[in-house]
Amino acid sequence: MRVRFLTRVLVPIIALAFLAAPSSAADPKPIKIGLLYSLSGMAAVYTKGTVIGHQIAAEEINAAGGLLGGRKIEYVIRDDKLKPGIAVEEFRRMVTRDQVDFVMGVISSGVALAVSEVAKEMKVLFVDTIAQTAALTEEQGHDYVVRLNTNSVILGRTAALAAAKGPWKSYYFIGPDYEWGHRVNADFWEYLQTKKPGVTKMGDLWPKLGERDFSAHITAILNAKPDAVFTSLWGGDLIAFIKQANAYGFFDKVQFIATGAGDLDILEPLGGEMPIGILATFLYAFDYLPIKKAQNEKFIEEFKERAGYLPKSGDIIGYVSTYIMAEAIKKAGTTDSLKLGNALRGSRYETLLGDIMVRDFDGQATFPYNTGVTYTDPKYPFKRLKDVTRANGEDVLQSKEEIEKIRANYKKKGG
Amino acid sequence: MANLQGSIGEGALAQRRAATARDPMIWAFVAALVLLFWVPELILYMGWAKFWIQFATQVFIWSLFAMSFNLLMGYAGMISFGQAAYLGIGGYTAGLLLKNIAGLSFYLGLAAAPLGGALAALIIGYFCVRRTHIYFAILTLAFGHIVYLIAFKWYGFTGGDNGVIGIPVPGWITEPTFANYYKFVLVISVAAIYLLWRIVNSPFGRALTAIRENPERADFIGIPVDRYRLYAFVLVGAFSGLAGALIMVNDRSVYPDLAHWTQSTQVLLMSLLGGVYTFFGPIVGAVLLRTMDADITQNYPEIWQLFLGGVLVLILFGLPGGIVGFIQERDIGSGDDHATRTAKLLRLFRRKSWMFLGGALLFTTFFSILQSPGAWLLPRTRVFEPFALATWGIVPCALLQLVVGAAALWLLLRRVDRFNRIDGALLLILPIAALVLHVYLGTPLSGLLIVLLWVIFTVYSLVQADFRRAYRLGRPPNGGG
Amino acid sequence: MAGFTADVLLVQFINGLFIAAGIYLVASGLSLVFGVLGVLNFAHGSFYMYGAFFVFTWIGFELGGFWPALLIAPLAVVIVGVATEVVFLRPIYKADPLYQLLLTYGLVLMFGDVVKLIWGADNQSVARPAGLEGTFPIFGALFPSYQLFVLLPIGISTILALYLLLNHTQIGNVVRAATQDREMVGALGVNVRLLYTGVFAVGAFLGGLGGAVLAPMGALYPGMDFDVIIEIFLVVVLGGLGSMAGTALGALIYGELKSLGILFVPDLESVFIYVLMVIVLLARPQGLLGKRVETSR
Repeated sequence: MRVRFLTRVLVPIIALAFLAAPSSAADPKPIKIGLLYSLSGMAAVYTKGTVIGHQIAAEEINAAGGLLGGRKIEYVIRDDKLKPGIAVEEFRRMVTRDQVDFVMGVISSGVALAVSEVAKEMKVLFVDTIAQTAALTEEQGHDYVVRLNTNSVILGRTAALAAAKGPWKSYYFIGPDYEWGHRVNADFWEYLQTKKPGVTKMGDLWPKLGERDFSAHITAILNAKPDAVFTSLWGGDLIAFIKQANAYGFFDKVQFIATGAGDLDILEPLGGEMPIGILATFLYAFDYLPIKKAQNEKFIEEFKERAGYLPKSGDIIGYVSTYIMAEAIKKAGTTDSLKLGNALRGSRYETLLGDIMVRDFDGQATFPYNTGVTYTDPKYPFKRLKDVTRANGEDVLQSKEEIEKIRANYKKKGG
Repeated sequence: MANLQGSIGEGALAQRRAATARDPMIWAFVAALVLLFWVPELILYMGWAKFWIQFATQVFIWSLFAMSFNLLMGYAGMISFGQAAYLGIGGYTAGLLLKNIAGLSFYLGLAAAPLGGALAALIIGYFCVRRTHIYFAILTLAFGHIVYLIAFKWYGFTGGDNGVIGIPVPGWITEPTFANYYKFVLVISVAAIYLLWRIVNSPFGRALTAIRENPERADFIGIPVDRYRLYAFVLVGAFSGLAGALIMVNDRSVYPDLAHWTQSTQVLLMSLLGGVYTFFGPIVGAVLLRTMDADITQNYPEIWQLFLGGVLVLILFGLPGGIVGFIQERDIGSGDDHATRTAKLLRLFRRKSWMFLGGALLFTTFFSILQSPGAWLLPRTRVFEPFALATWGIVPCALLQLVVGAAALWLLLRRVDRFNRIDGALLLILPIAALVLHVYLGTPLSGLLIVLLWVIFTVYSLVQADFRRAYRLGRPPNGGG
Repeated sequence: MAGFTADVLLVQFINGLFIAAGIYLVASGLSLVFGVLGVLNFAHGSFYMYGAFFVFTWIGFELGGFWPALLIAPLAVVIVGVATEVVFLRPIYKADPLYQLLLTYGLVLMFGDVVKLIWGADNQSVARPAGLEGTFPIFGALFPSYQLFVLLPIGISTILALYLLLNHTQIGNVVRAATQDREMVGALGVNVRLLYTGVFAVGAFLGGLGGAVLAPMGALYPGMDFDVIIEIFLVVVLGGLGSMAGTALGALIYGELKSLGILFVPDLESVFIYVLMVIVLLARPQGLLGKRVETSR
């Protein structure tokens, strides 16, 4: 080791001396944004594209001259390893060492709640981009947390709106056994009851995350003979469930309603095995575009070039949320967390995903959510969605009074 | 029979107690405490990031956890794969008490954590301690996983997978420099580690070592094997619970992840990395692993597990005694005369130096390859940049280093038995080169670690009496000793 | 929740057999390796994952599709397994078994990231072979053809093949002797190194076969090794470490408990097996069919 001195160490020292020459023009101080995602482990498949989305947006904004008089966006990217403890540590590090102005990110709901608590204490804005547990903005909401994505309420209720239009009377539920799964299923069920009185629930099943074998669940559901089955399973679990259920002729017997199943990360791997006629919800599909067609196509092209695949919902959220933040920074005229948070809330934004608003009382964005029915399009090797309907976030989310009630109840229980 | 032998044990116990009453180590602990107490002031004065205070806090908590775990693994030979369960139980005990009982004293809540950890360890340990080796490992893993599942699933009590969020802590902890909490943790950890030190050096600690070496013989000389193993398990459960509560306060929240079995493997790795059969080894392991977490794994998130697994495998093969074990390794029989001892020491010093060179080279090459993955053998770019690492190809560079490094080390070591002051200074100063290199590679912390380890190693070797004598006298005297 | 008709129970029972066959395929290799080598191989889950991903790659080659992959993927895993044994495990057989456990844990971490480097982090999927996508009726109930005609037969024939191999061949006698007393077998002039490598290769083959057979039933992703390892540990520990019959029994209990348990207490399905394991371990620490374990004295 000492010997490296003779070969490679002297050289770099000299090199550093040369390289350390002052850079030409002093740029204005960059706007530093912390990106906190699970870049290793199981969730990496979702977050990799999100980060690319963030980067594309920042490059476009920087190329157009930056923000607040030429300040460029700069990212500090950190891995939370899907662990709340690591996430808290990294959040503090980004704030106290890397001096970020605010932090965006996190995929896991548990991580989001832990980080939000630290954000509140450190008075640094935390912008949640993927994690969807409603608790973050409902009972645990505060001034320093905002979510620029759908939440479990939008997910559950949008599906319920579509389901209410169908003829199905009896429902069976299956979802991953953790809080988010329980929450989406409950949101769906409560809303469905108000929209379509007289529906009945035949049972719940809660397989663990990462379940391999759903045979028992599938036959238990078929045995109850429900009209429809609602699920909040996602990722590998949903793929495994659909594949195994296929082999039981499941989809001929019941109507399947799945949140997020209209997204490419489910449709693509399943390919021809995805049954047709499934009621599937999704945030974004690459060519389903109500507005801003040109910008979307440009994004898709750029994204495909870098990532090697078509953008999915999580990927465009990275792009869209960066633009929303840019607009809020322009509006606030500062990157001060509290002022930025206040500017962010209560404003409308035109995004690729639609015209949205960040609500002033809970910081939840009102992204529209789509429902469609799967069908075979010969142009693609995977199933596409037809008869797509959109539900606006404003219409399905709880009102201010309801949120206040939830918060009051939570306080009463000792929270 | 057991009674008779028990009373013999008691007699020895009293003797040992008298000996340990005047433990000089306490001054070392006090000195460490006093010195480390002012670290936050230093960091703030130097204008370094406040994050390092927070980082040091974490390192102390994990050191406490790892050292207590090592009492179990290194001293009692009981390798638990579910130790994170007690970390979780401690965190949840304190967290739930503080969250649910308004007005409960913070210190009282914290004090409940080791009790909770001990109680859980008593119940689980009762069923586990009779088993040994792999069966003990599996049983603790199974029970640990059940603790995790309870935390994960029992929404009404533990808050389920989201955990208990926003636990109230006193205002002086949330103070933005983290300095107060650092000091709090420092005092508790140092006190707890001193307690552990006393325990392992007590007759009880020696009895545990005897049990590890040979349970039958320990039983025969009157040590109540199962009972002592249970005591050790409960003790360690209490310390782990305390560490869990400190983590809880640090995060202001507690979540099931704290009790997950992969956390247990983290602490195992810390013990192993630092040195299982050394008392202070786990601290080195904790520092190293936390540093890797903060430095390397953040720069290379896609492959940090590959790296961690590689480190684990390398340690198991190359350094079964861990880093501190490696540094402390001595091979001197009590019957050796002075010349033999000196010769052995010098031989050992040479061997260690070679291993250090090899290890450091491997480490740097690995990160060079990470830094520019396209440049293993050939330059990545056509543009000729004489000062860029990628220009020359990493593997040829590494080979060149190996040749030049080996030659230089050979020259240096040839003189090792007639060292002069310049050689000694060179040995200590040259590692700075590694630091510069790592700064250049973008992993300054790792470079710092290499330097630190090298300095410890060299100083440790130089202060040994035999070695120093050899160093002063030029060559070993014939027939001395 | 009473009032289930007999045929519902029968259907769930057969489903339980499917689950049992799947988990047995993966767990048997782990149990065999532990029985002979005394190594509890964390990396067995990685072999399962590699088996599945090799099938995925083979199908991408379009050289005969799924069926040849059922043999080729496990054989490819055998190569990985033998390399692992020779390079990593062989030098440390003399060390404490726990060091071997830690070593295999290190290998799990490395294997996992290698999968990500080769196949990427995305979810992948393998289609069922043609002709077996649908269902097959038995007694009026519909069952998936793939599970019925591929998974179950392979599971049962693996049990039989292992039974015959271990109990009715010369090699089997040696292997069984080795599970009883390793030193003795060495003293009798058996090439222990070769025996260990061979057994490890068979274990890897079984893990790879499990991955290959189960591949068309679920998603393939890095991390599936961690998801399966806890399950197979459960099964093996429940049945008795190192006992092949115990593993089969453990798998059967696991499958049926999961399958029938859903009917009665759906809320607690993921905890059942742990509760059972604790009860069994408290009453019989060596597992249901395991041999007596050493205690601390």
